[in-house]
Amino acid sequence: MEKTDMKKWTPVQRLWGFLEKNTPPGSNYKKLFCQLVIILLIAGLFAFLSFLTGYSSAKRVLYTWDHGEQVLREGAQIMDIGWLMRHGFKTAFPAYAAFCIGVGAAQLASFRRESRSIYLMKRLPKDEVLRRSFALPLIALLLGFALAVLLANLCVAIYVHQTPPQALPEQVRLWSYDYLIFVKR
Amino acid sequence: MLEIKDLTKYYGNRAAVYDIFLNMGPGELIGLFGENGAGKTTLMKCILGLTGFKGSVTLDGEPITRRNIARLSFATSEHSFFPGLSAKGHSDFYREHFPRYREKRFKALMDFFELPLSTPLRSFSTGQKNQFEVIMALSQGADYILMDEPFAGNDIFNREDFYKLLLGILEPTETIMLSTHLIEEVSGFIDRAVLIHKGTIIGDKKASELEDEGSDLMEYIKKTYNYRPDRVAKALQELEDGGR
Repeated sequence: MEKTDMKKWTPVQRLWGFLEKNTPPGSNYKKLFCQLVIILLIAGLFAFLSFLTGYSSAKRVLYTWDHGEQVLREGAQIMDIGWLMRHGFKTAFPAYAAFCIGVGAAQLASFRRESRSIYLMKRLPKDEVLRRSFALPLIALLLGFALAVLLANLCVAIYVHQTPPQALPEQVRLWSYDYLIFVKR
Repeated sequence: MLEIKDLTKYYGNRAAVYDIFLNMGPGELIGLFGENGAGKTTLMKCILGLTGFKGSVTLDGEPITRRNIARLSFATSEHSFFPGLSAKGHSDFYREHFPRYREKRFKALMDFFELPLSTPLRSFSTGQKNQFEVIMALSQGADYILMDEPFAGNDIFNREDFYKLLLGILEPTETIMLSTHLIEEVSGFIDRAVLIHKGTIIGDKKASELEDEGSDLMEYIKKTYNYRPDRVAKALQELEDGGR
């Protein structure tokens, strides 16, 4: 891609242009980026579904049946949100982060695979090899972090909105008042 | 001037090269000869800083660092190109990273070897890969071009034509250090021979000196290595006497 055309580039073309300059030369960076995004989405989906499953079970036990009607148990309190998110978030995102680090290591090793292009890279500025090995995994990690924050907010919103206020833990109840005002703004 | 002083490199307890003192001036075409394992590749890797060593290597008085290493290029039979990148991609990469990249030379050499421009390097034959390796080393714009067995796997026609072409395209300031076993082939092409044996330099002679002495490169090498022409006959005789 010519530099002069850069202003006319679409965001996707800009992304490809950036990745082309920040991945090992000749690597299939488009495919790798798409793979990382798909894996991230799977990780995000797993984390979110794990939360939803845990949350629905936790919510179900808040109620009892009285003459065919669902009634909130007296003094019932829903499980702590940290506990509900723990399983999905603590499994999916660290696994994704480990995968990203693995991709970086594999890209670093690629300069010694099939040929010794590391000899050429050693005649370039020092950060060139590291930049080309770890820029894409770092971007993927940042995207992962952003998705984790987004999903965590979504989970909190569901937790606060969908749970009867009297069943929320005391701390959450106090905090959610401010949170809901913030969301409604 | 590239100066090597007291260079020693150990692999474990074994000295791969030791006590190397060598100067390479601008415009020299140096042949580096030695048996397998003599230390030719190790010496080149030390010069390029690809491996640690004791001693010093300086370029015009300055140690070789990232600041001046672009003045050196390297063609190796291990290959140092990017397998997934095309020749054109390499040209773009070199243009971006090496301010003195010689694009005209690149194009001329690509035409000469009739190599494809847009195919990834991994699909090239071994001979083509070697040719490309040499093309990039010559096109980088380096003052000192180190070539380690660059033509292993190439046919003789390509090699001979290439030597002729090389003599035609090199500028007077460009220095070449060529490590090869094809001594007779390069004897008319180099103007200095450095002989390395078991990790140390045992001979260093200019072609003009050999000419003055009425000798030639092959003779000089045989003499320096104490080559015994009768050893084959002796071995055969011994086998004969021993009843095979």
